[in-house]
Amino acid sequence: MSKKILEVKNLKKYYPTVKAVDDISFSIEKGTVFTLLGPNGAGKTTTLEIIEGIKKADEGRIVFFGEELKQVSDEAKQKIGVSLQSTNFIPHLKVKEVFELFASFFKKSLPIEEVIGFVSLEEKRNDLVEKLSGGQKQRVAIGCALINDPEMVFLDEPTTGLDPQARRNIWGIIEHLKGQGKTVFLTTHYMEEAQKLSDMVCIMDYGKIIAIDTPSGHIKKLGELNYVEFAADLEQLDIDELNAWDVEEVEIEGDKVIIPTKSLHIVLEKLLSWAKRKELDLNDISIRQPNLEDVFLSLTGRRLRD
Amino acid sequence: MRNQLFKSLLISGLREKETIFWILLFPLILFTIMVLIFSNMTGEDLNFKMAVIDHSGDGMGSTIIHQVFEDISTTENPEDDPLYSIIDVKNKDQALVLLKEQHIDVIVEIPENFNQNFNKVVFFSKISSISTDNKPTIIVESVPMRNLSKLASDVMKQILAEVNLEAAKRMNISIPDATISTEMVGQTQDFNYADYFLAGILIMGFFSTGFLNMGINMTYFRRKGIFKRFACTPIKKSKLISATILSNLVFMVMSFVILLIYAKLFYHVTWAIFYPESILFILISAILSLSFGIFLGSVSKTPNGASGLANILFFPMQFLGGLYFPVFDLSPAVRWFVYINPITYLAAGMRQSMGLMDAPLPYYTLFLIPILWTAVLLLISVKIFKWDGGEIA
Amino acid sequence: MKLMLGILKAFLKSRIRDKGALFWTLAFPIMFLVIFGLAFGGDSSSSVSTGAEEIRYAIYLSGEIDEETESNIIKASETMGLKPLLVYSLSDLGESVEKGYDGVEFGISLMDKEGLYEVKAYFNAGAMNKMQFYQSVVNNFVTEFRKTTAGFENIITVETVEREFTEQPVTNTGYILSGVIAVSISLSGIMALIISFGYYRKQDIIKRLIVTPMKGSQFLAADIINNLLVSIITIIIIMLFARLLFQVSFNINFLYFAITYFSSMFLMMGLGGLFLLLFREPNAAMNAANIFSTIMMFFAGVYFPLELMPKWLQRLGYILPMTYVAENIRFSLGQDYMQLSRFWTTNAVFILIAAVAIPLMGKTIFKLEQI
Repeated sequence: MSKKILEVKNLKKYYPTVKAVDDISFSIEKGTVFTLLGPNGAGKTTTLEIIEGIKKADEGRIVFFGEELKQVSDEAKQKIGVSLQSTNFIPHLKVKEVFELFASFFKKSLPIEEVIGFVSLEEKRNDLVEKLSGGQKQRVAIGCALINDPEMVFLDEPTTGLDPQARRNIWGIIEHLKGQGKTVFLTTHYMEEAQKLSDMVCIMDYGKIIAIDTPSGHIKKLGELNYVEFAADLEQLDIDELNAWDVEEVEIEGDKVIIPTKSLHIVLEKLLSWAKRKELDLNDISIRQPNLEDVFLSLTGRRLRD
Repeated sequence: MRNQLFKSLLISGLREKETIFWILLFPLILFTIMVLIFSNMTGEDLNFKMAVIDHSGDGMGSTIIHQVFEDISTTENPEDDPLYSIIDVKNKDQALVLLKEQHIDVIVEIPENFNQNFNKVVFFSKISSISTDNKPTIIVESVPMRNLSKLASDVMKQILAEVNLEAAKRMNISIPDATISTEMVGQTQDFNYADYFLAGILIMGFFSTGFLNMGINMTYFRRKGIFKRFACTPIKKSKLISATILSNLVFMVMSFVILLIYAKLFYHVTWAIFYPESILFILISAILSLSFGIFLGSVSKTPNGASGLANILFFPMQFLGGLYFPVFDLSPAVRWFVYINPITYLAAGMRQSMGLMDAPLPYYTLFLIPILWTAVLLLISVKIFKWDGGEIA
Repeated sequence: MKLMLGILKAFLKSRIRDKGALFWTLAFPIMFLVIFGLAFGGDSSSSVSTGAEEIRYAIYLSGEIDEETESNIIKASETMGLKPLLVYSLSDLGESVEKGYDGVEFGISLMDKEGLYEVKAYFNAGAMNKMQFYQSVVNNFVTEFRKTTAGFENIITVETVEREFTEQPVTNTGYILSGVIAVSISLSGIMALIISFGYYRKQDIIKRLIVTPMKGSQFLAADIINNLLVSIITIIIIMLFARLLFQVSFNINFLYFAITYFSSMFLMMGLGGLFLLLFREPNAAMNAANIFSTIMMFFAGVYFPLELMPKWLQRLGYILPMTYVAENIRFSLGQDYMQLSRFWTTNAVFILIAAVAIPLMGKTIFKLEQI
C-alpha cells in the first residue's frame, strides 16, 4: 500500500526579476525515489529549500507526514535528512567530529560508526574534511543527512561535479537507501541519473513543472520513437531531404545527425540507399531508444545540458 | 544536553593557526614590545655618543667642563654603558661627518676664547655687567629630527645648567637650595607601564576576537551554506547564536588568561585588573567586541569583505583608542575620531578603575558610549542579518 | 616576447582585481599614513618639543612668599618660555592639572621654608608620553628660579646649533611617509610570489602553463615585472596622497630611489619565495609572511623609533630587512642622510639574497609540478 509522505500544492516563490517557483504541485509516496530533473536555474533548489524550511514560499501548501505546515516544523526536521548543494562544513573538523556534531542536533541518531560505514569513509574518519576529495566530501554530506536515521532524505544535486566513479558510488548509496525503504527526494540535471535511480521524475523548467511520470512513463509518451544517429560530412548533406521522410524533425549536433522516427525499418533502408547514391560515408551509425534527455527536448525544444 | 556545536566551534577555532597566533600569541608579543619601549623611555638605558672639540687650550673653565664630561662618561660598573660615550675626533669637520653619518649624536664645542671669557667673568668683572657676547659659551650641535640626537642635546643642556650652579657655589654666591618631588594627579596606584599596557593589550585581544575571528567566521558560515545546513536540522537558532557567542567568549577568556599569566610572571603586573570596576569594563569590552563581530557578520557578504572591513575599522580604532599611547592630546584632525571611538572609553575606563590614571572624560560616558555602540550595532545587525544569501526570516 | 606580454597582461589584470592584495599594499599604507600623519604630523616634532610655544602651568605658593618671590617666578618662567597661572589652594592646583583648565599642562607647588624651597611637581597621569619632558621642564625651571632669586646669571651659556643634513627641511609626516612606503614595498614584495607561485600552483594554473610553449623563466619574469609595475603605481598613489593631504615635499633622488625600490622589491619577493618553499601550502606561507611583516613593522622603526628601544631589541631590529628598506627609502626621499657605502652595501646584500632565493623558489616549484 502506498502512502503519501509529502504533498506540495500550488507552491509559489517569486523574486523581483524571476519566478523561481511558479505554482507547482506534486506528491511523493513513501519509500520511493522522487527526482526533480531540470537544467540549472529551473527552480529545483528553491523548491527543495522551501520544503526543507530554508526559504519561505510566497504561496502554497505543504503537507508533510500528514500534517499541513507553513514551514517545516522542528518535529518534521527530526525525521528528515538533508544534503545541500554546497558541501561545506565548519572548517578544521575531522570526519568523525562532523558526524558527532550533526548527531547532537537530533533526538535520536544512528551510531557514528554505522554511518561512517554506510558512506564507506572508515579509513578517513580521522582526517580533516577539507583534505578530502570532492566525492568523499559529498559522502560526508550524505552521511550527515543520514545521521538521524531519517524517514526522508533530500539530496540536492549530490553528484554534480563528481567523476564517474564517485558518481556511481553515490548512486550505490541512494539505491541502498531505497532498499532500506527510505524516501529520497533528489534533484539533478543528469538525465541518466534520474532515469537510473528514480521511481518518479518531475521535469521542471523556468519554475514550472512540465511533466511528472515514472521514467518509462515519460518515455512512452514519446510514442514508439527510435533514434538513428550517424556522423557525416555535413557540407554534403541536405537536411530537407531527410526531413521529407517519415521522421520527426531531424537534428544536428556537432557533426552528428539525429533522426527521430516511428518507422525505423523504412527510414533505415532509405538512409542506406540514399548514402550509397550520394557516395556518403555514414560513420558511427547507431540506433537507440529514447531517454529523458529526448523527453526534455520534446517538451521544451531545448536540451538539458544547454 | 551536551553542547556539541559549541565544542565543534571551539575545536575548529583552535585548529586555525591564524586564530591562535592573532588572538593568543600576538597580544603577548605586542605587550612585550610596548612595555619594553615605554619603560625604556625613562632613559635608564640611554647611551649617547658625543664628540668634544676643544679649541680653548688649558684653563680653569675648560678643566671644569672636562671634569664634568669625565663624570658623565664613566660608570662604576665597567660593563654598563655611560650616559655619554666620548668619541675621539681630530677636528670639527670629522665630527660633523660622524654626526651626519649617525656615528655620534651630539657635538660639544668649546670655543677658543672660552677660558679667557670664563676668567673674565669669574675674576675680573661683576657677572651682571658682562654682556652675553663676552660670556663663555659652549656650542652644542645636534640633529633634532633624530630622536636620540635631540635627547642627547637636551640632556647636555641640563647638565651644563647644573655646571653653572656648581660654579656659582665655588664663587661663594649663595644660591637657595630646593628640593623637588613629584606627584601624579589622577592616579591612586603607583603607575607602571606593565599595568597600563595590560589594560590596553587586553582590550586589543578581545577586539581581535570579535573583529578577526567572529565576524569573518559568521560570514564564512553563511557564504558556505553552513548556516543553511544547520537550518535544516532541528537545532534552534538561539542555540546556534549562543554557541557562536560562547565559543568566541572562550577565546577571549583564553586570550585574557594567557596574557595575564605572562604579564604576571615576567612583568609583575598588579591585581588591579580584578578590581570590581575593572571587571565591569572587561565585560563591556567583551560584549562590545562580540557586537562588532555580529555586526561584521551581518553587513559583509563575503569573508574577504569582512576581513577588509574588519581591518579598516580595527586599525584606526586600536591606534586612536588609546590602547598604546595617550590620545587625548592628539591633533584636532583626528580627535573627533578619538571621541567617537568606543575603545577610547573602554581603555580610559579600564585604566581609571585600575587606579592608573583618571580619564579626562565624564564618568558616565565611560560606560554610556560603549553601551550605546553595542546597542546600535546589535540593532543594525538584527535588522540586516541573514542566515542565508536568501531570505529566511 | 609575445608570450611574455600576454601572460604579463593577464597577471596585471588579475593582480589589480585582487582586492585583498590591494587592501594590504594600498589601502592599508594610506590608512597608516593618514592616521599617523594626522596624529603626529605637523611641522614641530610632537612629544619632545622644547617649547617654541608657551607652555602653561599652574602654580600654588605657600610659606613665606613675598612679592619678590612672585616676580622671580614670573621672570624665571619667561626665560623658560613658560606661562604661570596662579592658583590659591592645593586642591585647585590638582584640579587644574587633572582637567587641564586654561590649557594647564602641569602644576608646581612651591613652599618657601626659610630660604629652602620645597617644590612639588604635579603631573597628569594621562600625559605619560610627555612626563619625561615635563619633568625636565620643571627641573630647569627650578634651577632658573634659584638663580634668579640669587641674582645670579649663568657663567657659561649654551648655544645650540640644530643641524639638518638633508636639502629639504624634514617633517614628521615626511618621515612617516617613508615608513609607509617601506611597508607598502615590503608587503607587496613578500606577497607577490606567494600569490602567483603558491595559489596558482594550487589551482593548477602553473601546470596548465607548463604545457604551453612558455618557459618557466618567462613566467617568473612576467610575474616579477607585474609586481614591480603594480607596486610602483601603488607607491605613486601613496605619494600623491601624501602630497595632497599633508603637503609633504619630496626631494627624491631618482637614482637612489630606483635602486632602493628594485633591490627592496626583489629582496621581499625572495623572502616571500622562501616562505613558500618552507611552507608549500600557500595559505600557510601567506600567514607566516603576514606575521613576519607585522613583527617587522614593530621592530623596524616604522611604528616606533628604533633608537629608543632597549639595546637587545635594537639588535633584533637590525636583523630585520624592513629596517634597512625604511632607512634606504628615507635616504632616497631626502628625509635623512646616510653613508653611501652603507647604502650600496645593503642594496647589494638585498640583491644577493634575492638572486639566490627567487631562482631557487622558481626552480623548485616548477620541478614539483613535473614530478
